[in-house]
Order: sequence, then structure tokens, then C-alpha cells
Amino acid sequence: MKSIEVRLFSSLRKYCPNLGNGEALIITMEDEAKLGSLFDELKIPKEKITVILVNGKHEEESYLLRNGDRIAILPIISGG
Amino acid sequence: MLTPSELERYERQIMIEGVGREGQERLKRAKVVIAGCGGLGSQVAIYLVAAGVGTVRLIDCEQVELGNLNRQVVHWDEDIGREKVVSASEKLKRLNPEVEIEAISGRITEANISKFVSGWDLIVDAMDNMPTRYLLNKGALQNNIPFFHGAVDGFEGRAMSIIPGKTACLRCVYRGLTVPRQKFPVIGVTPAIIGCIQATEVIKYIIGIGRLLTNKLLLYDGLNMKFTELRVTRNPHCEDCGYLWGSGARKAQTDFR
Repeated sequence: MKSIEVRLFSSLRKYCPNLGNGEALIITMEDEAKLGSLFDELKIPKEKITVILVNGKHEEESYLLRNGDRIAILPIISGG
Repeated sequence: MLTPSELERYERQIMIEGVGREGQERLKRAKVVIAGCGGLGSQVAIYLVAAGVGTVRLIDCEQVELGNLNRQVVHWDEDIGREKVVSASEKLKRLNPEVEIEAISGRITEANISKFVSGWDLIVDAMDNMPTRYLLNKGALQNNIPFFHGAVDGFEGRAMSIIPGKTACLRCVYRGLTVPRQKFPVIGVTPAIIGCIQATEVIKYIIGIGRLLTNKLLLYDGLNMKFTELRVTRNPHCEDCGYLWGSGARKAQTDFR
């Protein structure tokens, strides 16, 4: 098993309403779990997810999660 | 050289340790492009002009509308229907006649971006849509000009500073993704905060003090009054800045130091 730290921002926070903004959710995943399976775990529709940063870098859904990975999920905001 | 009037006008900031007369002279020599004259652009322009940035180029293609006035504080009720760059430059010249303001009323496109930014020292992103932001990002990288990103929505905002060839660019973070261009919700205090953060970054860069928001995306949440910094890293395969990978930090186009 591995432990992953996830932070949700902006409109995605509603999928974890008890979590404060910027606060991390600690999720325990199977050893073979990939980034794509995390979205099912969080129950966030994939179309809502735009930017996913794993330790500050973009990764594909096929990325094999590693213990201690820090993941940030955020929508784009574009107003000025 | 600073004139006696400039020494008096900027006295309080010249007093800041690390700024001094030399820092003020660097501000005076700087040429900054502000792309967008809306909520973010209003704040960035007001504070850069007040601080004595010597030359400012404003670019925007729109006219002032009543629905802009809750946040675009450089435009007033009497300006409805006027070109935003004209309305803004008038106020800014009255705020500080010692600064040169250039107004360009036009749309930024792939064909004209280099013409608009080449030869300028810094670019501030005060746009309201992603496609133009990517154009500015690319134009800044190609012309080796530091680029200062900002964006807002509702009570939330983001900011990041980009040094070409050295730090993560906008496309490294957002990978060219866009959101449909539509009317976005916003309250004036949000672009006020983000615009002031962008202006602070610009001033720090020009003077050469402090630490920049590079390789960091700052997320501001006004409802919870929380600031979060997300670490971001360069993508070696980035379409916009990947070719600069390994080239190391290039010397900035203009050395203010």
C-alpha cells in the first residue's frame, strides 16, 4: 500500500466539502494504483479535471503513483 | 538621473532598504508592456505608473462598458463607450505626468505579438482569456522577456512569474488547455489583489530585490483568505519553452542592474 497526498482547489473542492482549501487529503492506494484510478477514488468526473500536478509536474493517467506523491488538482481560471 | 521632483515624488519608496536612488533609476529606465486594460490591467498600470516605471505600453482592443466598472477602476462612468487604452492612459498621465504612456488599441494576435513586445523589458499578463495568454507566453519566451501571469475568477486568483529559459512557463503548467471564453464572475477586490501582486513582482524584478514567484503558482482564495503556493517545474518537452531546455538562464534582454 502507498500513501498519497491530494489537494483540491477552486470549484473542485466541493468534491471534498469537509476539507479546507489547501488542506491535504491523505489517500491510501494499492501498490499498483495509477493516477487515473485516483479520480474514481475521489469521485470527481474526469471532465471536471483540467490540471493535475504530481510533485509540481504534469503526469498522464497511466503514471504509477508512488508513496508520498503530492498531487494538486485544479481547474483553469482565466478571467482578468 | 532623477529630477528634484522625482526625488520628492518617490521619496517614501527610495527610503526602502534595497531600493534607494539606484532602484528608482532602474524603475525609470524600465519599459513594461501591460497586455489588457481591464480588472488586472487597471491595478497593474496604476501601481507601476505611481511607482515611476519609466515607460508603459498599454494594449487592449475593447471599449469601456458599464459592466466593467465594478472592477476596472482606471475607467469611470464618464468613459463608457471610449477605448479602454485611451481612458486608462488619460488617468495614468494625470496620476504621474513624469511617466511615458503608450496606448495601443488593438487585438493581440500571433502575427503581431512580436511587434508589440519586441524591444520591451517585461510583459504583464492582464488578459481575460487563455488563448491570448499562450500567445503572450510564447512571445515572451521567443523574445527573452520576463512574463508576469495573473488570472481571476470570483473571489479567487492566481499569479506566477516566468523567466524565459530558466523557470516553468505558463504552458508547462496548463499545457495549452483553455476554458470556453465567456462572461466570468468577479468582484473588484480580486483583480485588485492579484494585479498588485503582479505589480510587486515587476517592481522587484526591475530593482533586483526579493524573491520572485518563479516555479510557483500562487493560488489566492479570498473567501477563506488563504494563499497557497504550488510548486511547479519546467517541462523539458514543453511546446513553448522546451527548446530552451539546457540552454540555461539566458541573460535578460535588459540589465537594469
